[in-house]
Formats: sequence, structure tokens, C-alpha cells
Amino acid sequence: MYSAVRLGSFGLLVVLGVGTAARGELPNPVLNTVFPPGGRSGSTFELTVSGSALQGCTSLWCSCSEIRFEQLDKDRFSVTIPAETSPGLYDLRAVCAAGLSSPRSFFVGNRDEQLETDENNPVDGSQLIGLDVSINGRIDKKGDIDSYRFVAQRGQRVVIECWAERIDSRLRCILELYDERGRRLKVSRGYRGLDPLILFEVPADGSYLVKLFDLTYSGGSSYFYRLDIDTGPRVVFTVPAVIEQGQTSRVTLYGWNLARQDQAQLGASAGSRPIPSDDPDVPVLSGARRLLPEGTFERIEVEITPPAANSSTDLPLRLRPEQIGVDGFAYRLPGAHAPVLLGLADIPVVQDHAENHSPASAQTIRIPCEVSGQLISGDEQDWFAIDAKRGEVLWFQAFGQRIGSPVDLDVSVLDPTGLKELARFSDELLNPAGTRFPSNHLDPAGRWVVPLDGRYLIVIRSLIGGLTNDPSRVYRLNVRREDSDFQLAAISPHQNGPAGFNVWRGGRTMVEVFAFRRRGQTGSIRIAAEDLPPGIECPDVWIGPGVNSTPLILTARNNAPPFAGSLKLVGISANGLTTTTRRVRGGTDLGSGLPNGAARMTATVPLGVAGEAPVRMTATGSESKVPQGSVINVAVDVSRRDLGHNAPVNLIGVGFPESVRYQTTVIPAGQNKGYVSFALSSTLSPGRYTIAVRGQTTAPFPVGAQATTLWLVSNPVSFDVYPAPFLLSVDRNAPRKVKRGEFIRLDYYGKRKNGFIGKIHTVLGAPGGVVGIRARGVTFVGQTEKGTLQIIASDDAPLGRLPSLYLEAVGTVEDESIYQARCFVELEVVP
Amino acid sequence: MNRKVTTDRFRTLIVSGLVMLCTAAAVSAGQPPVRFGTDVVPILTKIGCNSGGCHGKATGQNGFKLSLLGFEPEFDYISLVKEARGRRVVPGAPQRSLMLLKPSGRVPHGGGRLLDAGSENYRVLSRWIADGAPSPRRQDPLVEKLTLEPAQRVLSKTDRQQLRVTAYLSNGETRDVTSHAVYESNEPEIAEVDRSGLVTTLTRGGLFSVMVSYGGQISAFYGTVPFRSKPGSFQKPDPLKTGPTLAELEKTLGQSKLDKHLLAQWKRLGIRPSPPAAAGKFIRRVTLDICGTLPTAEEVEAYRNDQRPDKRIRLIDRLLDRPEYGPYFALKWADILQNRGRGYSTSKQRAGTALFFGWIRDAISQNMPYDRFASEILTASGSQNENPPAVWYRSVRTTTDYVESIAQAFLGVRIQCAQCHHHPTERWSQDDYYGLAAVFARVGRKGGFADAEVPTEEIIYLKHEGQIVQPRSGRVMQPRPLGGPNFDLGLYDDPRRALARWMTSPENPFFARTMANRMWGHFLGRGIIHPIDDARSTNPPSNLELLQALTQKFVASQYNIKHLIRLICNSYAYRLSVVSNETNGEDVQSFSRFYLRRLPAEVLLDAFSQVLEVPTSFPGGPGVFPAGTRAIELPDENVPVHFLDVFGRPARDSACECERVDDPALAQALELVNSSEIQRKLMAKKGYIQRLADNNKPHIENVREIFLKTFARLPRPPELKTAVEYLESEPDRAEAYRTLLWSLLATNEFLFNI
Repeated sequence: MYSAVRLGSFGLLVVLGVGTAARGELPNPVLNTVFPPGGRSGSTFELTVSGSALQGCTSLWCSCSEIRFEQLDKDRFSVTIPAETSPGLYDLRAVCAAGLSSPRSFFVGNRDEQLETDENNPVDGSQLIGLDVSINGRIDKKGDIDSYRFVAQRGQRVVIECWAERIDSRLRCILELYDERGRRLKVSRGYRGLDPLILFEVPADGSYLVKLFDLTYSGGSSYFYRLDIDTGPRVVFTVPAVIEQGQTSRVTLYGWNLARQDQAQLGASAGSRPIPSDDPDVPVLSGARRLLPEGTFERIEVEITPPAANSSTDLPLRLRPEQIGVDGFAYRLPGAHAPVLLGLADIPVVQDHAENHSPASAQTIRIPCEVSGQLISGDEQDWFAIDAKRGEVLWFQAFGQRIGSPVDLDVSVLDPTGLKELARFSDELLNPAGTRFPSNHLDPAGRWVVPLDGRYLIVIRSLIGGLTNDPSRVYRLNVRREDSDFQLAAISPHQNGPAGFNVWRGGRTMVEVFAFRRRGQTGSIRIAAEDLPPGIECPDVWIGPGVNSTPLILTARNNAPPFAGSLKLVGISANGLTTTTRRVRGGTDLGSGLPNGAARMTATVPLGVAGEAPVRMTATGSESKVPQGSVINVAVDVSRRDLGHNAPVNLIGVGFPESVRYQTTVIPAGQNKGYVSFALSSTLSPGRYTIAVRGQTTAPFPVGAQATTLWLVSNPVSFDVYPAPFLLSVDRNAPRKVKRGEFIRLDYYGKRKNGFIGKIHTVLGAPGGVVGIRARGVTFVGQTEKGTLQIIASDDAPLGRLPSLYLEAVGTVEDESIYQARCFVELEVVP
Repeated sequence: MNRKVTTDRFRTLIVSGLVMLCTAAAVSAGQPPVRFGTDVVPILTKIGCNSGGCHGKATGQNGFKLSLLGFEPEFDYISLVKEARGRRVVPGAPQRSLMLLKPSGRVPHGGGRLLDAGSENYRVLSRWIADGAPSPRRQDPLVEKLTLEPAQRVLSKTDRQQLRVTAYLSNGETRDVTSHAVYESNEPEIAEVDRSGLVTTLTRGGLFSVMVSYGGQISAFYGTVPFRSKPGSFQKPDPLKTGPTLAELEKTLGQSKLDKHLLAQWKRLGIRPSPPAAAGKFIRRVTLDICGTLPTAEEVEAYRNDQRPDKRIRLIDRLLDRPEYGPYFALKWADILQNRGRGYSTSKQRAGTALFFGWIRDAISQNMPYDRFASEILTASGSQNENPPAVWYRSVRTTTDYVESIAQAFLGVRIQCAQCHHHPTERWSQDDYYGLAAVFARVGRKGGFADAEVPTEEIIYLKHEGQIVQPRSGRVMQPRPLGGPNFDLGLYDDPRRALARWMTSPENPFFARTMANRMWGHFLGRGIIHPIDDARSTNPPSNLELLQALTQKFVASQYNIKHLIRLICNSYAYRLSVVSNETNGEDVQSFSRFYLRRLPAEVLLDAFSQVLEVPTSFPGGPGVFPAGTRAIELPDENVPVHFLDVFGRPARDSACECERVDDPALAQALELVNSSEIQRKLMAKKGYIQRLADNNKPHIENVREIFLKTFARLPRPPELKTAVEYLESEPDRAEAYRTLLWSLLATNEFLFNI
């Protein structure tokens, strides 16, 4: 109590300190634009980059390792995409003197590519383009409207789709389609998301005009886009939306222009469509089965064999932070313009029946299973029935928004009559990383303990159903018993925008790893690096029980070779005999000017090694095992490359649970050692934790230059917390000041816990030793829990507050010192 | 003095004794008991105790409060009997009751003397008190309906008609309540009505109604006063100026039901409609009304020279296909649907308003059926960033917003009164108000970001819980439509969908009628029910048959808005001249002439831009509106343009079209003179004026074109002469045309749709 109350203000200092972090960082390369933002596989073209702190940019790095780059000029590169590269979205980063930049999306397509010309506006004349192209363009100025003209034949089904928000652009694109007489035929302000799409059934041979502009008529270099004008196959979604790992499954693809063998028959319902029979982008699928159209969608059924296990990392897909919990893989129909996310389940998958829309017609399912269904009408309810045993703990998790479906799902459990609601699950608000990586979403998840043996009903519905039938309202509903799981994401600790993950030789860098715990997972998760590049160290760190993040520290030796690549991280959690291993996925902020929380997942966790760190900080914990409610001291050493510049270093801690308190400390100028002490909460769950120390100082950077403010980070300090045998605390009415040459009496408590009855011997301590005061130790025996310490200040005791002063107690068992505990003492020496 | 007091007391005792004897005699004589709801309250209403200016107002009067016009008898009973320590009602000595002493003037009463001690009303009240002031009981009969005799009549000027009112009670009883009912004329300049129900017409012709209320029920008498005492008695001196006779019209108007109902009305009123407007006037009128745009000189010429008999029909069809049709009516609906841009900052609000405006525009351009249009808005859910109709829920976000916006925008009902008390002139109760509010009780909002005023980018969804409590009764209201029983809803049903189904049903008496009336009002300058969103039995349509026919045709077309517009624009009334003849100068209700009106602010500004060929530059935020953006295309009201504010652009604070004002104001005249925007257009280097200055054409040709462009007509000879003389007198050709155009653009002929 004493520590928590009196040290609360120090926690505030920490928040303020971290908030200014970005101002003191080493150069942080940020890639703002890549133009063109994509290219065709099997082509070579020029590409220009822009951003900040990109000095010394010599190359580009892509998450698709097959793509090659050659620098032509300072910011111009030649890009070669091999023909065999799969279409999709990849991350592109600049390799600079300061390391690897933040990413920008790069689209690899399989259609012809064109660049916009300067005259593509309604005033100067629209740009004439062919069909089946992807145009790379930009709304350069506020109020600009880009326009493109294409010629199409009656009966063709042309898809006009703009990629902007999905490729990290600030453009909120509006698409309009006009005929030759200037009549606006279609408009789209968004389709299954913010980016627009127009499906155009060409009514007559002729030329048509596409206009493209920003919703609020904004513009600038970061308002880039890719515009597809396409008659090739495009898959929009699949039914089922999930299939079982390793199980070959029949899947219905919904989309347009899906397969050549279906053209004539599909055309009968959608108008005659003269598709060239030799079009290589229209696949002839063996084993595909044509289905009747549904709504505006064509459908074909194909057989898909998914991966044997979850391969949801490294997908060439755009994934938002909330999708971190979605297991799936990228499926691409041959000839299709882009892959789609198809869910992958480790339990049996069942599809919903067409008639399960009332309690009376509820579809029986067996636990565990994952249901894939559709809510075609806006007010549709899908009912399921389960048999469950009393005391069983069930977890429900639905996927709607996270798989791109236009729904806001709600799941309820009811009694067999369907009239009494027993449990209800709504939006999952899990958001440990806040606006830097917002993972909260509209999909429901929750836990339910079965009250009695029997049959129960489950209903799933959408809270935002519209008035029209829409087959794309698909969902996944996962029902299983409690078996803990988690996902992990590594994001930059930068508070103010995007950043790369770079470590400088001789220095350290920090990556924050967040845990998204599911289905009752609460224990420690160990994060380990695999296949590290030479010269890089990355000790294991732990996300402690009930904690959602930990600092992962990368250290580069002085001789570490340059590196630009990715970091392989895994998280391991043991629960009894079961061990769960998950890959750590990457995340990035998307930059200023976008709404709060504009972030996405990255294909990989990047790592760059570059430059030379001017200062390095090393931390050493006082012990590896600490009881609840105690204090852990961390000694800090600072080594500087420029020994002539010994500025003070302000120290704060990072990576601990919110309940941990500590004092900020300063290593004075001219010194290189200091301490930070952390007071652990008495309720902190036992388990393994990791903390680190951050420091703020100045140093010449680069060496020999003027001093600049820098943020440092220490190596991680990991320790085990064990149940406390006793808890130390200082009486809240104890004096807080002592005069030189006088003494005070300090009442304190040693509250015994967990049956501990041994001796407790208490002394006064401080990191680095107590100076100017002394106290005779006190020993509790038997059931004693309260004592008094007499503290004497010497005549020459240094005036002022005594930093990190603590009581230290040793508990003995059979006269052997076994336990140790500490608590802070707030004391000031006055004249 | 003492003797006088004693005498008064003695007299009072005698009176009270007599009253008690009479009462006892009455009871003993088997008279029916006096019931509070059907006997007492109507008297209080009749003598004005519970009027809005007296004890019926929200705060009551001098500590005594009654429900407004007696719509809540239970409340009134408690006020009378239980409050004021029982002094208001003294059963042992009825004459000592304040309830009798005050209105009869025997003790000082701020409201004056309202009741004679010997009157029938006094005796009824007294008898009720003497009977022990029985409370209203569940089994008491209620007044179910009123009938009037006559219900409607054509009266001549300075004529009289006594109304007879019969009340039908729920127990089968009927009563003549003529002397107990309350009467009110809606057009006191045409007809007056006294307390006894005697209607007296004055010296003006026209249509009027008399509201009659009794026992919580309302009925109305509809009167017609022909403008001339002998319909059709006048002779037409000049058909070009006065229009064809009614008899001629009857032969020529064809089979149009709408025209027949118009004609019947004109016959009843004894007026002859004005002649049809000239071709130029018509194309200007209809182009402005459908597209918010002036016709070009070429379009005017082509139309004037078009000899085809169906050229008017073709023109209307053509205009409905023009790209300006969508944005112009989107502007109207953006007003009604309160697509407001004020709030956190323009840059944050604009995306939402632009999305919603775009959606409205698309819906109108694509001729989305009106039932679908309304349903999409009512039931809108999801992210305001992705589903534009959900943006409606950004401005409309409270219980009162929901109820009043829905009622006014889609049902043409002003139900605001029923928030606090029963509607004084309609059947709407607080249960109706809060029952409709309960439909929206489960509208949930999540996400988005907010300032103190208007959150934006929220997600609208159906909450699991949410209820509305009727404040007077304390009851939790179930969702229900206006005047209807509760909706039959399942646990997970969205009440808004039930409301949308009820509302858009062909049998719904309000929905289609309101739209038909709204559009009629748009094109004819006045609704058949006027104001257009204030439908009441006491505010009847000026031509019931016309409105019914229009509504039926609208419903039969499956709520096809373009079809509705075609019906209206092809009606005979729409093609009439604004110039009145000797019979219809006073007519402001029956559409016997075109009622002129000033152009809406946005249309007027665009008209300046169009004539002068200089577009307006609108300040944007966060982007820049592209060059050529028109005022009718602006998504919200938060585009700072002084001209638009001066000429009545609404703030979009309510669903009432009355927010858009077209009243003249001094500031408008000053704006025409001083507007920097008009000056900029007049002085522009690339505008129409410079083109005129540079084209070396004879002035006479240019003046003809200018008149066609501005007024859709050729100049009259004196106008042409004056203009050409002026132009020739001015050495600076550009300045000369500048002055000429400036003067023409400031005329009423330009500023008004005539």
C-alpha cells in the first residue's frame, strides 16, 4: 500500500517520457510512397520512392524475395518481377543508411500495367486505355479528377476496381462510370470496404469513361491508387469461408468471369458475353462445376486441398490488426487477379443448412466444430443445437467483419425452447496495443459454462442486416471446449507513426511483442528468435501471466554485418503437458494524416542492421527469483563510443505489468552506472516476466558530430515471481524525514502468508549501498508481524531524498536464508 | 357590512340547499349519473379552463394545472379532487367548491366569469360534485366519434350555417353536444364560428374548415365560399388574358383525373383559371423545378419552335433524365434528412455528408422507389463510413429527433405537441409519441470519434436492450406505429423494419400522401395540404379528391417518383400563367393560377453562374471542390457562402422544409448590389460578358440572346429599344453589357420562378 500510493506519481513521469520518444530517436527511415505501387509479374519497370530519413537508400527489400531491384538513381529503381511470382500484396521497404524503412504495400498483378498520364482529367481529355489493365495513378492535387476511357463490347462483364486504402494510400476513392453521351451509368463509393468497385454489364458497344477522385476532393503524393479495368476472373468470396486443415474440400467461389467453360451458360442469365476463347487469363478448370448465379455473382465449385497446418503468416494479402486471430491461407483461382483469404480450421467444419432459420429447425452440430454459413437476407437468423454436459466450459468465436463480410455478428445461447437467452456474445474488445495496432472488432467471442446436462440452442445473426439479399454475408462460428490459444504481434515501440525495426552495431533496439490471449490463456509465453542473422543476439523474453506485452531486445555486436531481412520469432506456452507454439506476426502504423488506429499487419517482422550505435546500455537484475510484493533492483551500465561526452542518463522501466511501480532515476553526468528499482504488486501472478530499462541521454551522432538526444534500451531482464511467504510494508504514519545527527523510529510490518512461520530479519538497503544513515536490523520470530526500526542519520548524511531506499527482509527456514522481500521506504534527510 | 355578509351566507346556504335538493331530486328521478370524462371535462374545455393560455399550459395557472384540453381525465381528476386540500371540490356543499365559485365569479378569478350560476353547465358540475365527485372508471363510456350536420357545404359570402354536433359514445349512446363542443376556424378571414357552432362567412372566397372537438374527439366541417356568388356568370372579354371558360376547359382537358378534380374545384369556387403560360415561361419554370437549372437560350428557342403537340411531355421526360435532376432533388432531401456538416470540423464531417448526399443523389437519379428510399434510411445500420444512409443517424440521434423527423419527413405529421401532452388538434397522444419512440429505443451506436457536438463515423446497430418510458404514465412503451397497435416482434427482430413495413404499406394513410403532397408543393408552390408536413383533420387538403387521386396513382406506380413528377408537371394547373384574371386574384388555395416564388438560394447562385458563364469557387475542406461544382451539388450546409445564407439556405436543424425561407429581406437586395461573388462573375475575364464584348455581333442579336438566357423570352420592343440604345451609348462595350446584365439579373423576373 505504501509503495503503491507514494510511487504512483513516478508512473506518470514514465508516460510523459515515453510520449516524447520519437523526438529523440536515431534516424527513422519512413517510406511514404512507392510509385507505381505495383507491377505485373514477368515484367521490368521503373519505380520511384519517397519518404523521410531515406538517406543512403541503396536498395529495396520486398517480402516476396523473388522480386529484384536495381538502383537507377537516388530514389529510382528498376524492378524485375519474375513471371512465376504469385499475384498479391507484398511489403516493400527501403534499405537505407539508417536501416530498413517502414513498409508500403506493393501489388504484384497479372494484367497489363499502365501509368496515368498528365492529361487524364475531364478538362484536358481522358486517357484511353485497353481492357484488362491495371493503371497506376495518383490524385496529385486537391480537387483533381482522373479520367480514363475504354472501349467495350455489348455483353462484356467489366469489373472496374480501385485499390487505394488497401495499398496504404490516403485516397478515399470514388469511381464513376459514364457513357459516350456523358450520362453517369454507375457510381461506387466503396465495396465491401472503403475501396470502390463497379460491376459493369456493357449494354452496347462503345467507349466508356471512368472518373476517379477523392471523396472530399483531397489530393497529394500519398493519394496513389491502382485501377483495374478487367474482364478476367475475379473471386470475391468463398462458401464455405473455412475448410479443415489438410482436408480436400469442395468450395464454391463467388465472383465474376470465373471460368471459360461456363461462359456460354452463364451468359444465358447475364447477357451474351463474347469472351475470347484463347484468353489465357480465363482459366479452363478441370473438375470445376458450374453453379447457377446468385445475385450478381457467378459461382463455380472447385476442389481445394489446403495446407496441413496453419500458414497464416506471410500471406500475400492485406490483413488488418483485428485479423490477427484469423487462421487461413491465400487461395488463388488460376488466372484470377488476386488471392482471397480462405479460413483454415483445426477442427471439423460443417456448413449451415438452408432451413435452419428458427428454433424449431435448428441444425444439430457436435462440439468441437466450426460452422461456415451465410446470412443471405438482412434479418436472417441461423439456429444450431448442441448437446452439452453440465460444467463443460465452451468457447464461442465468430468471424464476420474479420473475414471481410458485411455483417456485425451476434451470438446467443438459449434454452431448448428458444425463448430464454442464457448467454450472449457481442463485440470482442481485446485491444492490448491500443491505437497503435487496434485489434478490437465487431465479431463476438465468449465463454459459457454449461449449467445442466441437456440440449441448447445457438443463434447467430447480424446486427446490421440490410434490406437486400446478399450472399456475401458469410460467417464462421467456432464452438469448442476451453483449450487456450494465443496470437502474437511484434510492433515498433514508436508512438508517433510508422517505423522500421533496426538495430545499430554495438547497440540495441526494442520491439514490443503483444499477446492476444484466447480461450482462457493466462500463463507466461516465451518469445524466442530463430535463425538470427550473424552478429545479432536476441535473448528469450517472457510475456508474464496476465500481461499482454513484453519488450523484445535485439543486440548487434560491433562487428555485425549489414542486414536487411526478416526476423523469425515464435511464442511458446506450456499448459500442463500441452505446448502451443505460434509464429509472431508483424504490424505497422500506417502514418500520419490517417485516422487514429490506421495500422495493418505486415508480411514479416522486419530487421535491419546498419550504422554504429553511439551508446549502449546494459542491465543486470539483482536476482532471478522474486516474491510477490517485493522490489527488484536493476543495475544499469552505460558505455559510450565517444568517451568525451558523458551526459546524464534518465532511466525508466518498460515491459512490466501496470501494477508494478518504480522510481525514475538519473545516472549523473560523468558516471556510467545507475539503478532502477521495481516494486512488484503483492497480487502479481506467479510466473516468469521480462522487463527492460530505457534511457534518455545525449551523444554525438554520428561520432564527432554535435550531440543529439537519444533513446536507449537495455538488454532484457527476466525473473520468476513466486508466491510471497511474507509481505513487507512501512506504516503509513511513519516519519518521512530525518534530521542529520538524529534518529527516527520506523514502524513496519512483515505480514506472513502461505503458512510461513520462520524468522524474518529486516535491514535497510539501497541499490549501491546505503549512504549517510544506518539502522540496526530487527528480527521477527514466531507469529510476530510488526516491528520498529531505528534509523540514525549521520552528521554528514547527504541532504535530500534517498533514492530507492528499501527495507530488505530475509526469511529463514531451519536457519537458512530462503526467502527475500523488499519494500520501498520514502525518506528525506534534512538539516 | 356584517349584515351583508350574513345575508350572503344565508343566500349561499339557500342556493346550496336548493342545489342539493335539486340534485337529490335528479338522482331520485333516475337521471343518468354525471360522468367525469364525458360530462365534466367537456365543460371545462368548453369554458376554457384547460386551454393553453390558462390551467392547461405546462406549468398550470396559479398552482392549478389541468391537462391541455382535457385529454387526460385521470390527471384532471386528481388535480380537481385530491389537490388543494380538497377545496376545489366539496361534495357536502357543492356551491362552496372552488370549482364552481371561481368560474362563476363568486370569488376572484384571474380568468374572469366563465360560468353562469343557473346555467346547464353549472348544474351538471354541481350535480357531479353533489354525487360525491365520482372518479373516472374503466367502464365509463368514452366518446368514440363525432358527426357534424352538415359535414361540408358550399356557402355564399356573408352566409350563415349552424352546425349540429352528435357524439357517439362507446356504450351506444348518442348525444347532441352542439352547445358543449369547442369550435375553431382555420381561415378566420373567410369564415368565423361562434361558441354555439354558428358559422358565418365573410366577404372573401375560398376554402375553410371548422375544427370541432368534444370529449377527446375531433371532427371538422369543410366549407367552400365561391369567389363569385353565381359561378360562371361572368363573360370572358379576352381569352388570351383571362383563359378559357370552365365549359371550354371541360371539353378540352381530356381524361386526366387530376385535371378533372382541379376543374371541379374551380367550378365549386366559381373561378376561372388563368390561361396557360407562354412556352418560354413553361420551359424556364419546369427546367428550374426539375433540374434547378435555367434552360439555355438554344433550349428555349428549340422548345418555342417545336410544333409537336406532345412537346411538353417530351420536355418533362428529357429533364427527368438530365444529370441535374439527381443533385437538385438530393439538395431538397439533404435538407429534410438534415445532412448537416457542422460539428467537430469540416474536415471530419465532410466525408460523411458527402457519402450521404451522394447516396441520396444516386437514389434519386436511379429513380429508387420511394418506399425503398425511406426504408433504407429508416433501417440503416452499419458503419457510417461504408453505408451512407446510416449517416442519417448522425444528425438524428435523440428520442425527439427520431419521432419528429420520421413523422414530419415521411408521414407529414407534426407530432411535437404529443411529447408533453395530447395533441390539441389531432388524435395523437403521448402513447403515440412514445410508442413511435420505442421503435428506436434499441438503436445502438459504437465506434467513431466524437467532439462535444456531433460524433461521426459511428456504427449503427440493433442493441439487445433499450426502452422508452412514457413520462406521464411511467409505462414502458412497446414499439408501435402512429395510432396503431404494438408491433408483433420476436426477441431478435428490429422494430425499425416493422415500422418501415407499416409505413410503406399501400394502405398506410400518411406515407404516399405525404410524398404526393410534398412534390405537389414543390412544383405548384403550395401543398394541397398546407403546410406540406402538417396534415390534420383540422388542416384539410384544399382539394381532397385531387390529393387522393395523386396518392393513388403514386401508390399504383409502386412509388415511382419520376412518375409522380410527370403527373404533376403534366397537370393543367402546372402550366398556368402567374397572371390572375378577374376571378382568381384572391385564390391562394386551388391552383387556378401559378403561384410565383423566388428561386432557392442555391439555384439562384447557380443561375448567376450559368448566365454569366463564371462558376462559383466554393471553399472546400479538407479538399477543394472541383472547378464547375454547382451550389446544388454541395453536400452539406457547412460551405461558407454568404450569398446562400442571405437567400435562405437552411441550417438543416429539423426535417421541416419550412427552414428554407424565401421571404424577401433587405440583406438580399444589398447582396444583389454588393455581393463580391456577383461582382467577380461580372468582372471575369473569361465570362459571358467578355464574350459579348468580343463577339462583334450587332447589339440587337446579343440582347435577344441575353433575354432568352435570363428570362427565356425575347425582349419586348420597348425593352429591346431601350437596351440597344443604352449599349450604343456606352463606349466601353464590356462595361455596357456588364451594366445591362447586372440590371436584368436583379429583376424579379430573373429572381423568381414565374
